[in-house]
Amino acid sequence: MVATLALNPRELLNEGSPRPTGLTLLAAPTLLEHAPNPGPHLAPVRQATELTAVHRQWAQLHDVEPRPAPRGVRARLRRRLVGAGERLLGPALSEERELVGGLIRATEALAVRCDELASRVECLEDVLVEVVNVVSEDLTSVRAALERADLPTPARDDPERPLVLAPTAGVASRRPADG
Amino acid sequence: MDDRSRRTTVLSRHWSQPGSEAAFVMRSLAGALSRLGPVDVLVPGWATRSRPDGAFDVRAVGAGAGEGSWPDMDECGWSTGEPPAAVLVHADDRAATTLARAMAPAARVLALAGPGRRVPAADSPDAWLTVAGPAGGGAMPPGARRILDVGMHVAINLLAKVQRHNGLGFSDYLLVLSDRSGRRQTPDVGDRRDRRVTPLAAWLAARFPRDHVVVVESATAAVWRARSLRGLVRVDTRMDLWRLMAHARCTIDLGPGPIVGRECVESLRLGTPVVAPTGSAAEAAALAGGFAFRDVPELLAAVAELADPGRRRERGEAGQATAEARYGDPVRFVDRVGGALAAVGGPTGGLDP
Repeated sequence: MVATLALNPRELLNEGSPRPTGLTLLAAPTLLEHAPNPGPHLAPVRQATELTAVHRQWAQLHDVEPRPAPRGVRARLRRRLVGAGERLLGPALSEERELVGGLIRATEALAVRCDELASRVECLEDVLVEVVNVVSEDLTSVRAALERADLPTPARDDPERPLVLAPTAGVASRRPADG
Repeated sequence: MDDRSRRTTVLSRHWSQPGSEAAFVMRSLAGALSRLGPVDVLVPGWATRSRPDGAFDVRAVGAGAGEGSWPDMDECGWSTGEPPAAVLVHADDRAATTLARAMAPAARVLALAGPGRRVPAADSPDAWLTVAGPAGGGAMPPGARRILDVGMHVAINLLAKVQRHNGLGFSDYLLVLSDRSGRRQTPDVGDRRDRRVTPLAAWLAARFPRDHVVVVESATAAVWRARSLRGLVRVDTRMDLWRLMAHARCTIDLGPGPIVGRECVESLRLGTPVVAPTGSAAEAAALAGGFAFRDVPELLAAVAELADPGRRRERGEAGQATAEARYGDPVRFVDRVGGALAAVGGPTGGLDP
């Protein structure tokens, strides 16, 4: 028994005791099922590893650094063959290059837009929390004031007039409310 | 007085109800009385032998027809070997008073004031004991003539102020002690069907969305913020509850105990202001170090006022000083109980209402 009391949380203490509160509430405010919680910060898509790798490889392919003049027969022969191939396949390679370039630019644009949207969503989440807080504070205050205004005001000398806060029978004497 | 004249018998039908504040207060009084002389604890029920219970041997003296009711005088197992000088009963237990008058006619009958019903004059005890002061202590039954204010010792562990509850990573929250009783199944934070909260706590969660509102109910603390449930923490021990109190901005007790409002006193002793309903046993504590409220607007206004750190500190310090003086000294409590016994033995004494 003593051990039970020693370990007695609120729940045990309440059992068997009359509960004094019995406010005549019209309706308690409804609470939210979903918490207006800002999510974790989203890292910028433009800085994603995949996108930076594409940019780096594209830059290497179009490296405009002047190449050193070939030396030796083999090098000169290889350069002539490459030059002939480029002249032969030039139009097709150019189109593919433009296509790849376009894809990269489109990806970049999407990444920029994603980052901008993420920023806006974060901002909206902050605004939502702020709106919930402000509106909740104001609305609850107004509701509480209205509920007080709606309560009946019995005659002051009426001994049977109810309490505004009516404790459960047996806990407190029924005293007239002030004012 | 010798030991014999200080022998006291406690008649308590709430003794074995660990959840009731009546049992808590009666046990404290019996403990204080045991420092002054022998104490017999008698409870309704059937048992062949005394049952050891802490410092006392609890003896069942038989039972009446109803559950927890006292037996008739001719069936009562009350030993008349050594008559007590005083008998302590619960104020709402008329049968115990009648039994005491019959079985120990020479003894003074003291009634622990609580959420009393109207007591006929014929059954009135010789004096009423109140632990929360003449103004507190729940409703004093009409016609009470002699009221003896004995105070009480409400123990706390001051180490609760050193470290906050392990489950919470913040402080300065609003601690709400629910007015719902009984064991409810622990809700799951993911289960939206069980996110109901007691109406007054809903008002607080809605009015103070920027603050953490910690609602203790069914040994679980539900943390609300921005009007939504954020998590659940177990409150398994009294120390857990004290830690929650010690690091809260204020303790809002929506259903304080009927005799002294134990949690309100504990909160005050830990330096945390209290907000409690007007007309409850905790009103005196709330007025000493916090606020009492009659309706929702007053509740919200009181909690809003305590958001001011200066105001909170002022109310907390005032309440702590009052609670320490009244409920923090076990020696003084024993002395006051002894003084009450002495007073009730004489022609005068005690406080007139």
